Order: sequence, then structure tokens, then C-alpha cells
Amino acid sequence: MPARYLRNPDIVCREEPFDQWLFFNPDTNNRRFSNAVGAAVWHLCDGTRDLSQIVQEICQTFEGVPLDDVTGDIAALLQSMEAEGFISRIE
Amino acid sequence: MADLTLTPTPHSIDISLTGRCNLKCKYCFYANEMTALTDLSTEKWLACFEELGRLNVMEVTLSGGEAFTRPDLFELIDGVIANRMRYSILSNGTLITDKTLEQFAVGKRRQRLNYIQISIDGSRPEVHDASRPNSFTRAVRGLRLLKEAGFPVTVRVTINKHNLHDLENIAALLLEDIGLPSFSTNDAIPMGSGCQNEQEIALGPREQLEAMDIMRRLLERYPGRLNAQAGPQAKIQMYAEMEHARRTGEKTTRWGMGYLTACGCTFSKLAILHDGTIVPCNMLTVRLGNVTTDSIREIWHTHPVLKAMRERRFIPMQEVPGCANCEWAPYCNGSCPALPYTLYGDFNRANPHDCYRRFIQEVGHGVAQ
Repeated sequence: MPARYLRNPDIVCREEPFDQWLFFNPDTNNRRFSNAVGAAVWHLCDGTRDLSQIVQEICQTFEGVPLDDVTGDIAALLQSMEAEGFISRIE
Repeated sequence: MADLTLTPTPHSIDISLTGRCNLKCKYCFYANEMTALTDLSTEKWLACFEELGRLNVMEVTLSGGEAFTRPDLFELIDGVIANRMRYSILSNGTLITDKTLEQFAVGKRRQRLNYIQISIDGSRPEVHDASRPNSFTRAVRGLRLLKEAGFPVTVRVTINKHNLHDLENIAALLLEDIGLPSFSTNDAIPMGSGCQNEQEIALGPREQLEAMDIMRRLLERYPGRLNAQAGPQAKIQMYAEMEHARRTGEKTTRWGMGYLTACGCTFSKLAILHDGTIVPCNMLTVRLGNVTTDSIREIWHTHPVLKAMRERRFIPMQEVPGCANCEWAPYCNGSCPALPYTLYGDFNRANPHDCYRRFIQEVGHGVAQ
């Protein structure tokens, strides 16, 4: 069964000016800016979805985004978010 | 009027948890009528922190009065932590003991702590206690305890008439003896107790100049270890940049010259007084509402005072009362609005304590000579 992704409940995800989103980890004081797609990915990490399901939902939400193009990007995004403690992986 | 892009909610909030203090410092801006207000209860502060959590506020700075006089301080800190925030504490240090440090070991209290700032105004009791009565020994003990236990601790030195000639000793105490990586300075301003004690405590222009010379020497001796957002140390650079801009026509990009641009706080933060009153800053106490009855989000977006403060930056210095004919107006930013608001009831005025024209008039020359 592919890994699913779960948001760290301590993370703050703030909307900021200029269509930016700010992820804040209060445990580490780590801050990371993202665009709306990154924020949408993070919100989809509710513990029920794996990579392909997240990609599918993103492609539906952001029309015109080709599935093949974004899979690698979102996989990399999830990997870096996991490394920074913003999400965890459920095997 | 240009459209200002504002964060949906504040990034941080300065919170005066209590009006009580075990000291009576001679320049405390949080004095006089402030102490007549009643502290919010534990429950009301915890409810406030829940609202801040819902607003995605990231950090709070807890002060007073003296925050450590609240017996429920750690319960309140746990409320901050439960609502996904980090925190800092501003303290006089005198109530910090081994037992205090043990309480920080519980849960995430230590992990979420940005820093504890202790006020130290002298290298020895006679100097420190002249502005912060009967507190040197306990304040330094608290500072040493924090430093030795590896806490993120910093010091604020408020430069005043009593410690002007002790600044080099203070730097040696803090940086060499105690071994802090750095400390910061500002100066006593005539607000609160500082208003009553202005003649005794606040630096005049000639003393400002002397303090700037001393701080210049200390900056050379301890590169990168002294910080300042205000006061003589900050003025070294600010006045030099004004001189440079006037001489060359090249204006700094660090801050907006020629307009009332000083203080960008209302774009990212608010403050709450110990009775729950919401204000732009705990030094600029225009009442915006109260956390027990009003929505912080609504105040942040719609309050006319905040709107007016954010639009100060569009007011040319030449249109500011008292500045119309000033040759420095095209290079000035008016400095902190809290003092003019206290003096004149108007934050759209220049801060007389930081006025470069007044400084030159009284000293007889500018910083470039």
C-alpha cells in the first residue's frame, strides 16, 4: 500500500500578501514560503491520501495542470515538507 | 491613496500580562495610569490565546509589569504553546531562580522559547540601582542562572544619565565576564515614569552625542555584538545616513526618507495591555478595543486608527507640524510615533527626542563633523 501523508497539527499555515503562503513550525521556528499549490498540497495531507491521490486532486483544482508534469514536483515537495517536519508519512 | 497590502492577521503580538511589578524603575513607560488597570484572569488570557491561535499568530512577547510576578505564568505559557505559538519574555530578571528554570523543563516550554530578555543598566549596584532601584544583585543572578543553564538569554541596556559613563564597564560585564554573545541598547525616553524623572534620567542632545561616541568605540571593540533599533547606537547610523543623503542626494533604501515612515509595526503586529485593551503598541496606547469583547481580526482590518497609522508613510515630512521649514525634512522619517502621541495626542508628528535639527542646534554641529 502506498504511503499516505499527514499534516503536522502544530504547523501554522498562513495566507500572506502577494499570493504567498507561509508555513511555520513553532517547534523549530522554521518558516517556509509557498504558493497556493503548495498550500493546497499541505491541506490535502489529511492521512487518507497517497501521492497519486494528491496529484489527482491538485490537477482537478488547478485546471490545465498536466498530471505527468506535476507528479515529480509534488513528490519532491512532499519529500521536502517531510524533511522539515511539516508533514509525516504513514506507511 | 495607494492600496496597502496587509497580512490577513498579525504575525506577532506584544502582551503585557500584568500591571504588577516588583520594581519601580525611573523610566518605565508602563507606569502611572497603566498600573490602575486590572489584570485579566488566567481564563481570559487563555481564551485570548485561543483566538490568537485561530488567527495563526506565530509568536507573542510576554512582559508586564513583571511577567514573573504572575503565579500562573507557566499555565499561560502552556496556553501559548497549545495554540501553536512561540514566545519570548521581557523581564527584570530579579524573580528568576533555580526553581523557575526547572519549570521551563516541562513539556515544550523550553523548545518554544525564543528568548528571555533581562534589563541590566549598570556594571555595579550603584549604577544599575540608580535607575532600577535595589535590583542589581538579583537581576545579575537571574541573568547568570539563565546563561549557565544554556537558555537563549539576551540583555537590554537602557542608556540614561546614570549609566552613560559606565557603558564600557557594562559591555565588559555582559560580553566578557558573563559571556553573552551580544546585547542591545536603547535609551530612556520621557514617557510614564520617565516623564516625571526626565531631568534626572533622559539624555539631552549633548549626552546623546557622548553616548554615540562611546557606542562607536564599543562597536569597534565588539564587532557584531551590539544591537539597537533605537537610542544613541541606532542614531549613529541614522544620522550618518541623513548627512550622506543631504550631501550626495543618494537616499538610503533601508528606510523611507522624507515621509513619516518610522514604525512599520502596525503592518505585522499588535499589542495587548494587561486588562485586555488592544493597542497598536504597548508604548502607543490608543485604545482599539478589548480582547474580551472585540474581534482582533476585525480590528486589524477595519479600525480607523490602524488605517491612519499605516497611512502615515504617505505624509511628507514637510507637511508635519513643526517640520515644514526643516532642512532635514527630506531625509527624516519622524522616528517612533509613541512619544509625539504622548506629548501632543497626535501620532502624525515627529518625535522630538530623536530630532536631528534639535540635536545640531544644541550640540553645535552634526555627526559628520
